[in-house]
Amino acid sequence: MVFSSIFFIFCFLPVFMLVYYLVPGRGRDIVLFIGSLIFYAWGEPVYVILMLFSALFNYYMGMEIYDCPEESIKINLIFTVVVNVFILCFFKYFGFLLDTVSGITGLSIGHPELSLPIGISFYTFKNLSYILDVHREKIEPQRNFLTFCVYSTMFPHMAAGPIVRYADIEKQLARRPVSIAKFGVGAEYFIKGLAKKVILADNLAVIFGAISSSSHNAVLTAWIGIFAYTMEIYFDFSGYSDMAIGLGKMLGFDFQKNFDYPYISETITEFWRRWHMSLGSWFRDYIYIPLGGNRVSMPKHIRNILVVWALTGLWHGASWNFVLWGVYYGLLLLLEKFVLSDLLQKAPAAVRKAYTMFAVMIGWVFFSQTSFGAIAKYLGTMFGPAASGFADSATFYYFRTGIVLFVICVISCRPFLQDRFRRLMKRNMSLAIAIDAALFAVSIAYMVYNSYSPFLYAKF
Amino acid sequence: MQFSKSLIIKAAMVIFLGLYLVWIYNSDNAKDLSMDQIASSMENIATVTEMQKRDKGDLQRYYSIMDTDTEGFFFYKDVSPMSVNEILILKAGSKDEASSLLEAAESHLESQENVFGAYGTDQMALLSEASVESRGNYVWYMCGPDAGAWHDAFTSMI
Repeated sequence: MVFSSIFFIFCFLPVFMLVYYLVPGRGRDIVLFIGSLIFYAWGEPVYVILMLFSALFNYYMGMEIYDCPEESIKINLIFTVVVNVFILCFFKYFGFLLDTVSGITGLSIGHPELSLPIGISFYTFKNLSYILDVHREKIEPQRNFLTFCVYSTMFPHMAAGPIVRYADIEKQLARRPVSIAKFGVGAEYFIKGLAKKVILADNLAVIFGAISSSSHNAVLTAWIGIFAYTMEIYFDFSGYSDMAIGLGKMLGFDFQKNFDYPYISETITEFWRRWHMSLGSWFRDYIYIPLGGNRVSMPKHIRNILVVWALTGLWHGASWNFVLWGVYYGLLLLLEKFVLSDLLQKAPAAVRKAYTMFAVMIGWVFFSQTSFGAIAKYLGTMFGPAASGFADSATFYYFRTGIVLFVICVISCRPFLQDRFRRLMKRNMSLAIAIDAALFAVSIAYMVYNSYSPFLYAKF
Repeated sequence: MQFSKSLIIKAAMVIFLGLYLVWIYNSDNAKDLSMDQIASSMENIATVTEMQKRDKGDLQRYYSIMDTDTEGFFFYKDVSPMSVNEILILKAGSKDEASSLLEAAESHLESQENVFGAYGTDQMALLSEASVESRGNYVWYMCGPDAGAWHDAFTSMI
């Protein structure tokens, strides 16, 4: 089940919310747990068992790590991490590993294609953060299995994050008052996210899909295409995060934001403080800092950055283009840290922003094209050698049909609109609600027309 | 005693996980074939190529599926608007995407049944036997007098 489906919005969500609000106190935990199982089982019932196993395993091991004798802590921790990573690798990287071995050795190793359980990367990382925080004694283990299951299987952020940490919602798991006002704020987040997804991202996907599937493009067409993808992936993913945060608020939770207007960043370092913040902070706290972070010799510092970014890339998918994408960012961050920092500080803000957007758009080429050949071809088109010219009739067609959408996207990816809306909400709430209602109606109209629209990040 | 109880629980969890993974591996999987391999094999069947090969525009028209939302597709449909004969094989990027594609294929079957329900006895008989299924990351819709043979040919391949 996806949030941007008619069934979810008009059947599952109203029934679920009604039951959730009617049931008092801790009974809501049972409703939320069962609701999450139904939500998850809708698409793939067999993987509910895996999700429940992961919850049970980490619930038990959390207590075990906390309670066991000092000398057993390390072995229990290693065992827990290995099992979690093994499950993730089995489903996500098994085929990739065999294909890589086949490629290197020249052997033809056939393998069945295992389907990827929804949200496995997100809930594995969420559970790992719980285990590692218990080990560091940052939190105490949850001894109520139902409460742990609510945390581990909660449907709002199950499919595509954000990666909510136990420490952040520990108190809310025990007590989370709901109110009409909070429900309203949640609904507003949800509608905003839905509009980002179905009005902006899905229409941008049509433009990028058409351009990237064409065998010959002009230089400007390729730039229009990657600009469309740049906007699509932001509105798709941040739309999902807004919907998850909104659903969380409706249920009484407060999840951390996952995006903070990343396209206004003036450096790549800043971009990664604003993009997929829950993943960035996960890698920082559980990989980068334990490796020594920046408090080591320069070669080790460089190694730490490259390891973290290669893993960040690999997390996104079992394909070398994602590794390349991760390493590309690792190198850019090193460049900013050791070479460009003074230069960037002296440069005007407009230059810094242009540099950042340029680097980010090049990065999305690595991300969107799944083979090295396709990456080379797309970059070749953007910079001339593989292009069919500088501009042609297709360029003007895409520009003419997409310009309104592009302008809306450029405005919407800055804080301007949201700030205005917040002020309007204080001054004239009726008008603000009417705008939300109109956005919702337009989104529904788009959803009825486009019956199938998965979230890009749900595949990770 | 405490130590052995904990060890038994951990061993039980690992054994359960192992059995579950073996079961998943043997039940819900499909070989990773390219759409070109699938097409070259399926196009050996005469009753498939008797129909018209369809493109991404037709995929969107009949199933509301964008080709960019799939890893590839194989689509043949009879030219006659009165015929319900068609074969569509989709390859999704993930199980989640496959389940959404399956919903789209099921919607198409429902829509065909609505169209022919009032008058098309022969068509309804074929639609009632249509195969709309999913395995691994593949989803297929097969309808026609030879749908059973297409189904067997495809499933034996994956």
